Amino acid sequence: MGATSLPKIYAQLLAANAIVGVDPFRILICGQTGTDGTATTLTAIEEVQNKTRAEIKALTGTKSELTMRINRVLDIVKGRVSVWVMPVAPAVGTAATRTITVSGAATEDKTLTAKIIDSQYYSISVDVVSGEAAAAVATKIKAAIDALTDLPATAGIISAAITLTANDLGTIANKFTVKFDNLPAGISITEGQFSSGATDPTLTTMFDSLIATRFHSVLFPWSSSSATVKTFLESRNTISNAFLQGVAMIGFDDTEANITSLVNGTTPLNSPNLLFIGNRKVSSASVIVTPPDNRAAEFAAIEALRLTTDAPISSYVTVSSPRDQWGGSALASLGLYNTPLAYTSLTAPSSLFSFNEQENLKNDGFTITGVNESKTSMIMGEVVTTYKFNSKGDPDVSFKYLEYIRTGYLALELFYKRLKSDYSQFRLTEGDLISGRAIANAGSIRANCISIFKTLGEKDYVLCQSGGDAEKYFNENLVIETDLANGKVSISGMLPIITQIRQFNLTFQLSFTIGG
Amino acid sequence: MAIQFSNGSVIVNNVPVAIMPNSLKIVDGSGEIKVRAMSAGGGAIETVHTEDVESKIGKISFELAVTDENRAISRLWKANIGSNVIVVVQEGLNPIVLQTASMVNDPEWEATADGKASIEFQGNPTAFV
Repeated sequence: MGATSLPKIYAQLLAANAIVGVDPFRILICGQTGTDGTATTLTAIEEVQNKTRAEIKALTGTKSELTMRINRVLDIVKGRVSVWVMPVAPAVGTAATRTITVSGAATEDKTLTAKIIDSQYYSISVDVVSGEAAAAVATKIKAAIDALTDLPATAGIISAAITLTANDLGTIANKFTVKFDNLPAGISITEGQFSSGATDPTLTTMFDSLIATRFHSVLFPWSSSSATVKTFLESRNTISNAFLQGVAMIGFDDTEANITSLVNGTTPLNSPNLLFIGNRKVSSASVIVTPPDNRAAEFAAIEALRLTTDAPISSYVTVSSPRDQWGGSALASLGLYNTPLAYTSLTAPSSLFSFNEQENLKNDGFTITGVNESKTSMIMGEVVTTYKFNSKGDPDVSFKYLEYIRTGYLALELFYKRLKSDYSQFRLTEGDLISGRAIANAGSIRANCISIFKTLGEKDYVLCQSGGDAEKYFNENLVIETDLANGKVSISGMLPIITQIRQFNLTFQLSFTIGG
Repeated sequence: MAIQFSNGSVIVNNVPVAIMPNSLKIVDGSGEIKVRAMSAGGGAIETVHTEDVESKIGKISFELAVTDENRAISRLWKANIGSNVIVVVQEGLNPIVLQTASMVNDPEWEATADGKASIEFQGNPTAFV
């Protein structure tokens, strides 16, 4: 029995056509939980950008290296980029230390300054009065250090010797430095790099719980354990019905010989997923008072903003082209070199690698953070991975530059997303297409691939070369095979990407006439 | 032997469309070249050739039968300003792809036994393949 209801109405509501784009950028910050951090070891903290700084401190430690690095990323991305953290509990290790010894007695009134670990967060100034002895100056310096909020180290003092001890156990804090400037006459102070930090936690299971989430950039501070993150990311280069490709950035300062030994030694690293970023380290002196992992974090955050749709990025690009002032996929093909690093401590070029050393290290597969020619800003050098050879062992630049990797994989991702979307439920035929039906054949799939390729060359993407010659090249090299029995379409072809200007070779001959 | 484009399948936004036979027209959008004669004196002339960039617009037009289905789908195309993708596929020939396209005309649906309506899309020059 039922009511009589006329007229009869049958209705369906269809969703609007979705705009297919790429995944939002996501950064994973790996690090050691601080002593008072409550985060569960090896359990990812998701969407950290939505938490307050107090909540983050509670999780990863009030005065830890990890919290400092998270702050660096969040200060730049300002909630626009997804940031996850993978915390690991420290091992029973040794903390890195640095002893600062004050000598002499001041012969003038002066305000000395010091940068402790990271010049952006931790700088002090101490008024020294003429006649003050070393121990008195050291006491003032210690008091100023004690007053710093959230410094990831503590200061102890014996007479005129201050010992800074990192809060984090293990090797990460060996990358910390201390630098003094504007010393009064009569006073000298030893400065330099922390050392003696030892024993890192076991990292081999660090990524086991991160199966299905994509991380475009992974910040990984343990340079000696890079194999762990390399294994994790290299398995993601092949797209197996999930787009997970990403790269790892590892801060690393050392001598040229030691860097070469690490990235291009007896068994050269040759991974398109590993970027080592840094500059010179001098154990007895302080070079850049921003730990290399903080520089890597700064760069990763800037790059994430560049690739985030509609993020304002004019502070991070040196060109004035209007469309390049806003983030998006099109920024993948704009050079990363010369990106200003405003949070990185300005350093005299004489302390850093020379031009020839920089070239050698670039060829080894090492990315330099340097200073610009006017000595007004720290900048990125050419951003290179450790990839140098193809599988046959021949020199190859395909995955050498991060711009090539981002450009190529973004183009591949657009194909991946468009094909998933366009053929979400489709028939396959070798025959004719039937009007009004979701049905494709090799010809229509070819046409769609050309359409996607054309899109990749347009202003919103600027990933692939555009124009008639490029379209013709793409089509001529495109092979499409269909296997109706298994519903399989095999597509292969060439993807002519856009690259960057890196060098000019100029040759002019002098002339004394213009033929008049 | 060369094959002529004469019987292609028209696909709009990934959906094949049945069109009136022999109604499909394609303009690649390679643009017009204007040639002007300049006087060189003594009756001689010199020609000046310029590319008319304003005419670099790709166009695909065809005719549809007057059915509810066609009228409904054409309204979707019309609303999809600058985002339609039209491809023409014929076996043995390179496909023709027009994208970033708008349906520019307001079709006149003829209410007659053999009624039809013209549809015209304009967009970026077609893919040069």
